[in-house]
Amino acid sequence: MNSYIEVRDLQYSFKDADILKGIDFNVAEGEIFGCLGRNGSGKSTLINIMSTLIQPTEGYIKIGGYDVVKNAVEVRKRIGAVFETFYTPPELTPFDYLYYYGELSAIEKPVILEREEALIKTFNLERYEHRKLSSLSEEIVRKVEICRALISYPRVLLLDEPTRGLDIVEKKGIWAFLKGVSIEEGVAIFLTSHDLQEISELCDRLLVLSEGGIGYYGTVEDLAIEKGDLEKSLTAIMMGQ
Amino acid sequence: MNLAIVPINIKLLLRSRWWYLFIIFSASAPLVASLSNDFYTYLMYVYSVAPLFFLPLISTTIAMDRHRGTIRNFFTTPISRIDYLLSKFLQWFIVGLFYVLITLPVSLCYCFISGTLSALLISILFSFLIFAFLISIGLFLSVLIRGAALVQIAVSSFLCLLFYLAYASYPHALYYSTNLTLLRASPLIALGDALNIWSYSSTPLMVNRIECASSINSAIFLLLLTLCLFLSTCAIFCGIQNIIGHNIIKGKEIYVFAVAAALLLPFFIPVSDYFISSREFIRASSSDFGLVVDPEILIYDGGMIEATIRIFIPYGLTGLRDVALTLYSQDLIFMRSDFEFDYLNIVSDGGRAFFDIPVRMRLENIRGLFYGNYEIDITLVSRSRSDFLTTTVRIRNRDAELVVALAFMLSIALPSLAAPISKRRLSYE
Repeated sequence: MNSYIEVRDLQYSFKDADILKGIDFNVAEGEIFGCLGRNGSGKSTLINIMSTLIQPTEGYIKIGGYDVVKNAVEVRKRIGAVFETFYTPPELTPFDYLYYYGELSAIEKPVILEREEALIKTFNLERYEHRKLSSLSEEIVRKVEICRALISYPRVLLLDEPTRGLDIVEKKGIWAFLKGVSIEEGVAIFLTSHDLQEISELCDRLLVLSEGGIGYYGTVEDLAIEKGDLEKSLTAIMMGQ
Repeated sequence: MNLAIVPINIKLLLRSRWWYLFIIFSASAPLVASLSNDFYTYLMYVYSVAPLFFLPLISTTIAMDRHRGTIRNFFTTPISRIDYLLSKFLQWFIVGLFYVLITLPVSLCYCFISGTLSALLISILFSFLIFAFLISIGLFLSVLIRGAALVQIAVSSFLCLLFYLAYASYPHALYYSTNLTLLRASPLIALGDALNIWSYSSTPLMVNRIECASSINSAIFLLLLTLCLFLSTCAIFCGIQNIIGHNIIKGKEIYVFAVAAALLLPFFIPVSDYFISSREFIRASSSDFGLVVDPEILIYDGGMIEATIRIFIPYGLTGLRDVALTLYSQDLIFMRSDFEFDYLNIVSDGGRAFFDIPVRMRLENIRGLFYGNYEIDITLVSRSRSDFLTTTVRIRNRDAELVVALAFMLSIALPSLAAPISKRRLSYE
């Protein structure tokens, strides 16, 4: 498989602290790649760098062959991102919100409407599409956010704890959708999570961050075979043992 | 260039609570029109002073996006940082356009009643320049600080605004050491010069200003300043490593700015107040007696009052021989009546002859606690008749005003000191 995301010797420092150091990995087209780590281990920072929001101190990330610093706009044409915390304009409806981001992505109106309709149907948002975002629950808004990331037909989906706060039925629905997107559209998905079930259910390969560096990088199966109990071994890696 | 963000941002702005403020600003135009008895004062307020109050709103625009995190969503779409800044600039410029359109009917009515159309057109043109300039200042402030300190940004920009308003008359305080380059950066002066409304005043300071600052100069200078500020903003915004969390100025540092502005302002405000409000027009008994007196009175530190009294000579009179002038002020217990007459001119203004008499008088007991309105009685005596005209001079205690202004500024600055520092997120998150 061709690697669509390429991360080499990535380092991000803030003041005197190394938030990330020596990060190397690849994500192929159509692959679902998981990232685990304790709170403050740098998962969100990594997603922020991949989303072109933060510039790395050293090293580089290339998405679709474009550097996230030098060719930020080209990278943004290829990504969709959902962040851990988000703010949606309370005055807008999901329909307006998705349409707005479709416009921002410079997609033509009929294509936006078609995509919007498909996403709203897939995520069971028909009942909410014309209600103000301020009146919707956090879970529904999180689904809208995932739709927002997908509206522009991205080649890479960056998801920071995408199913946080959702119940198991909704989670499974989103997992099925993500698998479908990765297989049918060949979208590379990079997701961070604290949910081991999510990681083992979805991800082909895994990066575990420990104290800003790589604690483990490989397939989920290899880790399970190598270390035995997946939960215990991941906990040990995250603790730096 | 992707500016698709502009229409939706305007839509959001119109749906938000800011809209009410916008309505208040716009509604103030007819209010000023009804209160003002002078078309130029109206133009100065509506197209030069009122737009300044948009600055606190503009200065929180990017900081708010950074604070809420919406900026993260914007920058996962193919818009560049420059596009984003340009769209913010354009968004507020369109708001400025709305403002001008909303105020236009009242302005046109007032213009046809008491003014000239050219003055209105110049004012509108300058209002756009002023809006552009304000947007560049606001965006500049907005990229310096992240939104956790929104209160500080709003307060600081408000202080900036007051400082700027006050700065308009800074050269008055300096008197003979006018810094003309900076002077032209003032929207008030720019519009004033463009309208040429200072030209009839013949005090030495005014003469200097008119000689050196034309409307074209002012327009070019405002444009250049706008461009420089916007380029600086672009340089900062494109250069920051962390677009979400980076603070160029920390919350604590902005306090220094706010406190410095609060301390400096009182030195300028009283002077500017004279600048803005000291022009009083008395057209007493012109229809009855054929004489008009327009006193232009400026009060400087050190107790010096300068006044220009313009006397229009009615058609029935043929020359100076017909007019004699005496001034007395025996009712003013704090004043000596030793007026000096510098020179006497006769100029023709559209067929009406007039002459300006610059007078200077020194107040005694300038440090005393006098405060309020005092009257100067001016008697103009012609051969055929005698007109008794009255005008009012407002004399204020500058020392007392310093204290009042300082207290006012501190009351504004206090909320910024109380801003919740604990809510600030870690910068690298």
